Amino acid sequence: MKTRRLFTPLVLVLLVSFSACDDSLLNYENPNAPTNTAFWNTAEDAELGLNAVYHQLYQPGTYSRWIHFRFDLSSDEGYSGSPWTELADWTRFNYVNYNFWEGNVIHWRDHYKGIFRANQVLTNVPEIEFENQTRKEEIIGEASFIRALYYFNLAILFEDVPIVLEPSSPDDKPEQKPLEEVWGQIINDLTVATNNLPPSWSADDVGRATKGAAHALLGKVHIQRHDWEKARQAMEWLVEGDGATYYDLVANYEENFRHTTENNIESVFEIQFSDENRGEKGDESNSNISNERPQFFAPRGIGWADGQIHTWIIDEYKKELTVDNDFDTRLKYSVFYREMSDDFVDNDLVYGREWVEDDWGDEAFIRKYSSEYFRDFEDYYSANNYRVIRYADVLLSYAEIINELNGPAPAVEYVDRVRQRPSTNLEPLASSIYSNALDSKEAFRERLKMERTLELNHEGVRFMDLKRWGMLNSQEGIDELAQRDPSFNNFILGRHHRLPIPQSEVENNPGLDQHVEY
Amino acid sequence: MSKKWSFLIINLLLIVLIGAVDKLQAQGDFDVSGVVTDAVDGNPLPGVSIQVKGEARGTSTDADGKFSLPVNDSDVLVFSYVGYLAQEIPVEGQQEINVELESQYIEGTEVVVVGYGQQRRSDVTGAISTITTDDIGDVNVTNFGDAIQGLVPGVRINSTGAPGAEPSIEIRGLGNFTNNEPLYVIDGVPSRVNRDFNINDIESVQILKDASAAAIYGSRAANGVVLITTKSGKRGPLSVEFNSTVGSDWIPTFDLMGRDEWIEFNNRAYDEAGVPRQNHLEGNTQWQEATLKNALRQDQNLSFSGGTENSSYLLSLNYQTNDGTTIGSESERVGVRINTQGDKGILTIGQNLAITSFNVSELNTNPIADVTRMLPTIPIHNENNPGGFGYGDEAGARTFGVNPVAREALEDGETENQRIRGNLFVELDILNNLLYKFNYGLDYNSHNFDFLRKEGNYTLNHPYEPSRVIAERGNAISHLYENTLDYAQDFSNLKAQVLVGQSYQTFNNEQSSAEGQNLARVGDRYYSVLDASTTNDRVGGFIDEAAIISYFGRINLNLSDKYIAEFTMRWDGTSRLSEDNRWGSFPSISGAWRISQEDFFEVNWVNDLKFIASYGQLGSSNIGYYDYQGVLNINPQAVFGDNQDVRTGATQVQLVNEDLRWEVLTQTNVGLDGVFLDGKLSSTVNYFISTTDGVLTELPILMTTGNDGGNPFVNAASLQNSGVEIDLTWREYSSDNNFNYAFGLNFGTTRNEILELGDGQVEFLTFQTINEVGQPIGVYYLIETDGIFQNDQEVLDHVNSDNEVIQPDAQPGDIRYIDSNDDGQITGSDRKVVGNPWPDFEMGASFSGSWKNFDFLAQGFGAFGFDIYNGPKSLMDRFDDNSNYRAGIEPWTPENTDTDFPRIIYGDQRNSRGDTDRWLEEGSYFKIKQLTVGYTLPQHLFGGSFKKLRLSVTGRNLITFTGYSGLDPEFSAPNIFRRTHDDFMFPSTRNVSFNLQLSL
Repeated sequence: MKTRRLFTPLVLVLLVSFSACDDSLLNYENPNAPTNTAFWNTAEDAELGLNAVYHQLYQPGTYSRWIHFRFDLSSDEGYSGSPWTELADWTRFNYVNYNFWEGNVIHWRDHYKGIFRANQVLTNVPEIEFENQTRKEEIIGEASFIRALYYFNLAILFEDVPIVLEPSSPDDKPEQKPLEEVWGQIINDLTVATNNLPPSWSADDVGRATKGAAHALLGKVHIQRHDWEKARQAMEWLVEGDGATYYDLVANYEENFRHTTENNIESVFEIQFSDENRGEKGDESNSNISNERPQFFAPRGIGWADGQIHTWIIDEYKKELTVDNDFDTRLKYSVFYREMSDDFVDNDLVYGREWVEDDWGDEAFIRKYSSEYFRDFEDYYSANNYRVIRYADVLLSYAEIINELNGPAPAVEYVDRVRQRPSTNLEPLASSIYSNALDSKEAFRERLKMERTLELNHEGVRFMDLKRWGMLNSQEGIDELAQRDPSFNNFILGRHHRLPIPQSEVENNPGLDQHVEY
Repeated sequence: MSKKWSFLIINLLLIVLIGAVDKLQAQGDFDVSGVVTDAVDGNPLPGVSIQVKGEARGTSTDADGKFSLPVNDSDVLVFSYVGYLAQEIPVEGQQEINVELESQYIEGTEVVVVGYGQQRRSDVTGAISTITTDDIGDVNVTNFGDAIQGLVPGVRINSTGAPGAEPSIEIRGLGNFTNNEPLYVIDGVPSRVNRDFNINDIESVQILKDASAAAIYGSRAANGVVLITTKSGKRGPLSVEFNSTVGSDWIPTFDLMGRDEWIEFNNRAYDEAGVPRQNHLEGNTQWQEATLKNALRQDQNLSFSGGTENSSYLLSLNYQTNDGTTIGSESERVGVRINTQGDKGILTIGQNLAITSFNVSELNTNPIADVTRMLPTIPIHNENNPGGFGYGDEAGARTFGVNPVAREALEDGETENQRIRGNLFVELDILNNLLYKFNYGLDYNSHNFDFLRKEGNYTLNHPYEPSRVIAERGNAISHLYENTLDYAQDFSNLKAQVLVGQSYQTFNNEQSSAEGQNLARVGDRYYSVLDASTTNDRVGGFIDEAAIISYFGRINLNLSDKYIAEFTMRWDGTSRLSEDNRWGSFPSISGAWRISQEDFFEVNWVNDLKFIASYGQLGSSNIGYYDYQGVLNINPQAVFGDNQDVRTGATQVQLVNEDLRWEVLTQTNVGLDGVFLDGKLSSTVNYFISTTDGVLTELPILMTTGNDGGNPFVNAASLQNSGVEIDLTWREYSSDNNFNYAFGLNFGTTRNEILELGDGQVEFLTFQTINEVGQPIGVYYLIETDGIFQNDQEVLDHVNSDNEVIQPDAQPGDIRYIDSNDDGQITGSDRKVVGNPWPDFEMGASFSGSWKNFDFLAQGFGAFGFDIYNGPKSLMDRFDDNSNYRAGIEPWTPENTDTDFPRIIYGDQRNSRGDTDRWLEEGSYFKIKQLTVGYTLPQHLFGGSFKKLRLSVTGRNLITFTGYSGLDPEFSAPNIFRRTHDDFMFPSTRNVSFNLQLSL
């Protein structure tokens, strides 16, 4: 009885104390990261959000890795001899599985990931109060430019794609839009960008999108649409307008592909890679923000050699000698090939090695962006910036526009500027072996095709060039390409000018259909 | 480390043995004699064991049920007989003791542990399966899943042979898409029964399968509940038990080609493609021999227990090692358990505490995959390569396979777990019928993971990796506070029992990690601590916290032992859901009718017959800690400026659904429990149907949303599971007790169906499988193949309805695919549902018996009527990429056309597609899981010094009947949507082991 007296109050105390458990014991806020609701209030938040938009440019599906398999290796300039058959098949129009991560899915995923980030900025930043109103406009301009660039790549690769302009919800099922509407959206964003962006940035901010970049991309949109007049208006600013003072060609061609000469006067827009982090790609704390392309394209034994250059380009370079009767040094800085040591002085070694005859034989490898000029190996962490648009491309595009509008005579000067870069040192076109290119608009267009490859091979423009020139929608064009690149024998007219949309995406979105040809 | 512990155990054992021999035989003062009879029919029972409690002295009844034994006045005699309830009778001067034993099946007085209490088996209204220490005591296994596999219908266990891995356990199908692990409650504390749990400590296991049985655990019980009670000391002097198992484990291997045959086939594939042959390397390596090995495994368990009228204690020590069946894996475990209890007056206080240290050298490779990818021509070692190991070569052996020997040598990962789990309870028996209990539970786990990467390569084109070290330190701690009041009252015919309770549990999980590169090194020795790293140091860490508050109650009414009704209710609140959605209520109702107790029921071969029915709801919040809170990712960086400065950024990367709520499972169960033929046959039959609504799913969302970092949870789908479970046991005892046996058979079916996917969605794809409304989860969705083209004409004849040739590129010897959408080409759109990973039924069978001093046990388990995707075969038979090849294949050639193996072509996808039914196989199997023969040495050999000395030998998984051509038709699924995708999964281990049981 005694014990009962003692314990009954204890029971009551325990019961009371624990039934007092209330809801507040269940309130746990995530201690690991700020919640969304506390963000997008200050100018600082806007800067952080904008940086994340740029960050998505460093990913495998955007500019660090696989996109070069589409833009370069799927064109007649390059090919893949990868032992990974499916990877190589996707550069030779043999698409078996429409859910191939490295073939089409990752481009779709990484570009829409970037669009989601831009949408967060473009929806939230207008509501934020800024002390510096100009900076607010610039941020909107930068995000608009990059969103336009993401949609531009999607338009080239997939054509008809859904347009998403607001921050997403998990159950969104955005509807597919025809290509022309996608172009329209890109033009809208680039119009904002051309208005809001400054022509240049201070030394601390070099690398951000500029007014010139926006004009150049807008021009590229219009030439892709054959709207030559609008294209001229867009690019004029860089070539003949106020912007011309900000741009020129660098004296030495190779400076366009080296980390020591980044963001130079020829650069219109570059992806600013860094070797600071050594983690896997993605959004982890140590995720690398570097250029992985050199590791994938370096010769066998040094890198993966998953992408190579067709040797017809070497022959094409050798057809025309410089004013001093030498080979075009653009060959030297574009290609590793067996005769490279004979053709140029000081050009004997590949990453410090002799030509490996029994393995490399008469094959050739891509040299642009390789690290061989300062070290004898590659890894996944190249800091070398990738030039998305450089001024030589703008000049050659402008020549194309002017030719289409007014014929060769007024156009040739822009081609000559590129040909007469000090390190290139070719005759003006009129006095060169290709002088008959000036005979007609058609002849000039044909010559321009080759001038662009010699200047811009493996710089991500060839596939869209072929598209623009109609070579991917005529059997005649395909046959010509197959002469240079046998993988075009697999090309089926009306199908392979664009990628199949990821099948899982089609099956999970009632508003999205697979392209009829697939 | 290991030696130290072995010494300790050996020393303890020696001390105990000496003590036992020293004790010798205590003699009695006088003789007691009597007859033991069956309480129902009065027949004498021969072979009944009569033991002096707490001592080795004892005897058994003769053919007439008679016995005689020298005893002391203070002795207590224990009468026990298989199938009957044991009785304890103090001698207290009696010279004649006659005993009537009651069959435990007839009275139903067997006690079953239920949530927060105990019930008589006959009062149970839900579907509860019981496993006792007798069922698993003689099973030589190391983990819980293996111990109970095949014993309980409706409980599916997929064992795995992966070193250190744990089998997966599913109760009654898949109720959701994310986590189907049941709730484990060990001595009243929710915890996990993982690889650091010592199964020697198990006294009994109850598996609560239906809603009414599990309802008291409310929101945590949707996947079923496994209640584990650990052993406690029994009244009497010190009792010592030593249980030692030593055995050898191994896993089955592929039958692969040798070097010469391999080269011949490889050349053929290159010739067929018109590609110059490889300049084959000089190696001649059997990769399986280099990688797989026989593992020595031991499990030593020593326990001391005893008690007085008012207290009991148990101390158990466990030591276990496993060499691992592959290189680079081994484990060691040391565990201590202390369970004590004492009472005085109305107060009982007790504790159960287990402390375990588990060290494992983690496998860094998947050898099953690696041995299929490495070519026999590649040497294990090659001094020309960085690190000195052989691997693929561009010109001579083009493969990106990983050399497993190299990788295990160059990478070393070790995990060390220290775990403390236990509880402390206070009970007050206040009015004889009102019991208050306070229970505090603790589950603490700290883990250290250390990883060292040495310099060197293990695969072709391996980019340079600097040496590095990773150190990860984590703590997880959970506290449980529970109060319950249990009130029982009898009103003439009506017995009532009421339970109310409250529970609060917190969870905290913290981890920090650091990494450093380019370690200090002298020769081959790497300094593998963080201070020895010179570059690229990196740190990380996180904290996860959660809590759950619950209130619950149960009313059990029993009228005349015929009609039983039970009502249960639980309210749960969780921190993992938003304030508006965090509380859920989970009710259940159930009833039983013991028809055999009715006066009108007069079937004399039926001893007990009970109908049960239940209906109830259970919940689940199987999601992460903060899944309803959208957060920023602060890792995205951007680079700007002449100096290429890195600037931080922030953005939302992963989308969330803020309005997540409980997923609710509603289950109906009807069943029949019966005991027939004087307890010889007992049976349980149950039918259940359950529907889960608002299933918390990481439903694949569109990439156009820009989401990354995992699909966000959403209460999307609705799933249904239904099934029948049948459990039959036949027991037979010979009259002289020389030959007894029991035969058990259980049978279960589970039908799974997706009722709804939410958001109007009707299907989603998950690799080679599809999830469609109206179908089970994860059915195979592949292109159908239709044999092989034998000639050009057959290629031209293979047309769609528009007369378009479907495979214009095909040649004789290539696979004919079916153009199911009739569009004239073969694409992913031609896939259709062609196979099912869900078995038609599963079956377990066991036979156990004893003859004189021998005992034996055979146990089997099987699943029938399902398909397996054979991953290793899909790799080794593809030939477009180089791999090891299976011996005995006969690919198509113009000379060998009578084959189902197509032409082999290197670098060509025509015959290598993964998304076809070529790789799908019938998976049905039946396995003899266990064969054991034991021998108990006659007591007289030791003069009674030992209570029991038994030796046994066991073979596990030695015989499998199956048509599956892979290593093992049974494996742990890579994920829920690929239940039977053999993605280079570890086969279950085969083993032979020897066991010694010694009781003093």
